[in-house]
Amino acid sequence: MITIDTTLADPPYDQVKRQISQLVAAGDLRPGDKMPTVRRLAADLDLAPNTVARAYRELEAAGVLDTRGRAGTFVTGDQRSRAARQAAVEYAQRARELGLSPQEALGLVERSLHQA
Amino acid sequence: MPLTDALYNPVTLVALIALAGTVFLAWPRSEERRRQRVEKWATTKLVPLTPEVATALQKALAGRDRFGAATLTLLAAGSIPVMLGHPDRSTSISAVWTLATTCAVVSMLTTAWRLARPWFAVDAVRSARVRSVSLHDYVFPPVRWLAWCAALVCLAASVLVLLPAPSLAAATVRAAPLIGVVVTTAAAEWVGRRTVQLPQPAQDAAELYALDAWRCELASDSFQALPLLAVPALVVSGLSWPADDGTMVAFQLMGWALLGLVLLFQRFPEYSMTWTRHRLWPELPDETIIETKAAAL
Repeated sequence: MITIDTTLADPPYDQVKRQISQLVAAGDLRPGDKMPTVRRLAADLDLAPNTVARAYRELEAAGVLDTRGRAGTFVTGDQRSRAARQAAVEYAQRARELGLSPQEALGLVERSLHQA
Repeated sequence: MPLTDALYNPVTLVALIALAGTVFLAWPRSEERRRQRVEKWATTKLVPLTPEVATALQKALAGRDRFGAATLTLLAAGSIPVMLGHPDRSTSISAVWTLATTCAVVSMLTTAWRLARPWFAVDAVRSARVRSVSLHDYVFPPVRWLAWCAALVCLAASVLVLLPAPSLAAATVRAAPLIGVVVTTAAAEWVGRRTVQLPQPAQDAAELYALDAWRCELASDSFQALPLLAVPALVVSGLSWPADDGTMVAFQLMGWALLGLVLLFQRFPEYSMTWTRHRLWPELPDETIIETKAAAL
């Protein structure tokens, strides 16, 4: 269960995102668990659907959630793959900030993997 | 129709039962009785009785009584013209049974409509479950299977009674009660699926749990009642069946067996709210109430 307080300084989407991440990390939400739809969670929390959609999108980018088309949104696989996806997202963001092209960024990853 | 015929007509019994039910449900209750009723309901379901939950429950129970009384009044009122207008016993029973199933479907639809209205006022703090829920979480699966088995038995029996029917009117009289059970089952499934997808605005775990308990009771009761409807439907349809043919008796025995299984499953510890607790509140130990900041009534 998550609790949102709209009087807090944290924006609601951030509260949703943080609490879902915590539930996944604590094992309360397990890999394969189906999440409520954006509309349903937004109605339950009396938030705009866009707010929940943003939290879901960012959790997807972080590898915590996975949207499988019309089947819905699910908690992603195991802890290892989640951590790897999280690291990949962070690396992609850093590479973009450094102005690397996708080829350069991928080349660096390949070289690092061969050296390791 | 002579008065004695009307008195011995089973439809009269249906009308009287419906009337008694109306009086029972519509009878005004004192504040103390209403409070006791809410407390009893909450204790049975292990619902934490915060002042907000108690108020919402009292309203919900009163609303359910009002709509129940209105539906039973409709049934009682509808039975009178049936009783007076159909001298043939099997025709009148079939007509009143069709009316009863219509009332059951109307009652289910009304329940779903009433659940769409939020129970609790929205505040700055809101809580929600972050797991998708389905009807499976609210209804102990064997109860739902038995309801569908009862519907299938009724469907098969309706085909059996329809095939040799001499006329459309005779076919309608024979099959209407059975088809009514199938329609009611489909309505229970549709209403149940829709109900569990309705939003549950709540401030805390206590309110969310109370909403779960209410939904569980409504959904479970709808399915549990279906084998109870199937047995009389099979008996009513068998009235116009040749006595030397045992096929309808076999269907009736299946109906009784399903009814027996419903009673048996009621003895299971997972029955009703316990099942929903295991599915939606796995962290709650058995027989414990969610801790809340607010004090009980």
